[in-house]
Amino acid sequence: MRDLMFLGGFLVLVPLAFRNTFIAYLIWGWTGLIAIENYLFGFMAPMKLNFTFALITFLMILLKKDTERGTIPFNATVVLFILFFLQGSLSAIFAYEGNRLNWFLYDRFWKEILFAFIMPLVIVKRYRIHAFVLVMCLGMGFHGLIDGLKFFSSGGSHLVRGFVKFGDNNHFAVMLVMAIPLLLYMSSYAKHSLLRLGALAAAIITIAAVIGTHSRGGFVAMTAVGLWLVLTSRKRLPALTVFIAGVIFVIAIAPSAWTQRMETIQEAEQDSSFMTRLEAWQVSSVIALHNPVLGGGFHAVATQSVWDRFKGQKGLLGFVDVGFVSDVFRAAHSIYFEVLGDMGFLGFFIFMALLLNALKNSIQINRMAKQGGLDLEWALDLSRSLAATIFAFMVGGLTVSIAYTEFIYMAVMLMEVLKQEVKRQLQAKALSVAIPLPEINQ
Amino acid sequence: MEALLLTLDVITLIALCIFVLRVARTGDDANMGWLGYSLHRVRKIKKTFADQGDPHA
Repeated sequence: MRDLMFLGGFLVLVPLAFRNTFIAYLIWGWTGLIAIENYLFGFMAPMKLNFTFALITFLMILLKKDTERGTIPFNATVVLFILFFLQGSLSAIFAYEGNRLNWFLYDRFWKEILFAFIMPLVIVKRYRIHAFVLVMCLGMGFHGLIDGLKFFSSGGSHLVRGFVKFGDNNHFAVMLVMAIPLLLYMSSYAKHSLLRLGALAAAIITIAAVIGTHSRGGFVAMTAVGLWLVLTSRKRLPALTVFIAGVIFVIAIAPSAWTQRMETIQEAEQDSSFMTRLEAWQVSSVIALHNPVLGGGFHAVATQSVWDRFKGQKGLLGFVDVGFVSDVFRAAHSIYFEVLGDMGFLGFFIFMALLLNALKNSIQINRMAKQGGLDLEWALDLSRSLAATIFAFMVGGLTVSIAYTEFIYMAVMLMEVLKQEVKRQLQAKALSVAIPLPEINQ
Repeated sequence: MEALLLTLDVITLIALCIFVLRVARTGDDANMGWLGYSLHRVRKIKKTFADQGDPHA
């Protein structure tokens, strides 16, 4: 039945995608974020929907089927994306032998980079930025809604486990936290009151879903994002009040098992889970020290032969003694050590530059939008929301390996697109002031 | 519940695509319909004493 419903939707979406490049791009983004293949089990399951809409998008770009076409500017963000892509490609080519995940992850990586790279071509005006943010909310908000509602309906006993595309509960928790700032933005800027209310409800339910993951990293990321939103808010006192109300809400709905789990954050040094992470970080840094330029290839640390070669060495974390040597490989458990091990120091610096450049763009947008007054208030708020998403990734990513999630690359490039749009609007405003419209005398 | 939410998600996406197409054709952002954006942040309008009318009794 679900497949039949989706077939109906697909038959409507395909002709729409052939009408306009931006529409094809939106659907391509949506199929990626919602990970539709995880929700279809019948005859639609083998369909490569993401690939289909990606293909349509490129066909439409080639045919120039768009009324408002942008250009890919030559700026820091674009250059960093190109460098990151080249670095990832070289790392994949020169990866250690026997790395079963290398090409699988590279396949995802280049598609995500490509999706973000062409964003300035198709997103040129405010309505398109708004539509794209809406698609991000529809894609990630959907996961938060599903698991958050299950959490509520089970009285807090539902354990959110994540799924194939996004990884385990810890990965999933951080990704859900990343979606919350955009849902909050939508709750302020959607035109229809029902949509605003829906976005706010989705944000609250997503918080419940994060609690349902029982992830400590997710909790830390959620707290960090809450504080970030308070600190960057124009009215800090009301924002702090909302934050405190949020904390009370979390305490009220969280089951006792969750509270006990969160209390173990203070005992990280005695926690075996944390110590195994430290061990994985050590091995990742050793891989980077042996291959400083290209790294060991995608998820080299999770390759048994590579682990066997480097286990027991401390690398950059020589000051920490975990007290044991694991025989079985572990995941990197940190976006920073993940990229460091996979792409070496060079890849790590490009990755960090990409994230920090996006935060710098946010500061620039803030400055420019303030010149635009009330007309550019939306850009100011959107840049703050995107910065909160990136911040959630940077904090949550301290303990989970989600460096190659498409949501972050979307947010980083959207920040650049937003900056270009703010510049355009300020230029248009300056022109309209310089050339005053003739007065109409009746 | 999953199927219902997925259906709603797909319907919203279709509506968004139709509205975007309308805007692309006409060049008028108001054609985004109920999925449109508000020009400014939607704030609760505070009532002043003057708005509340005459005091009771």
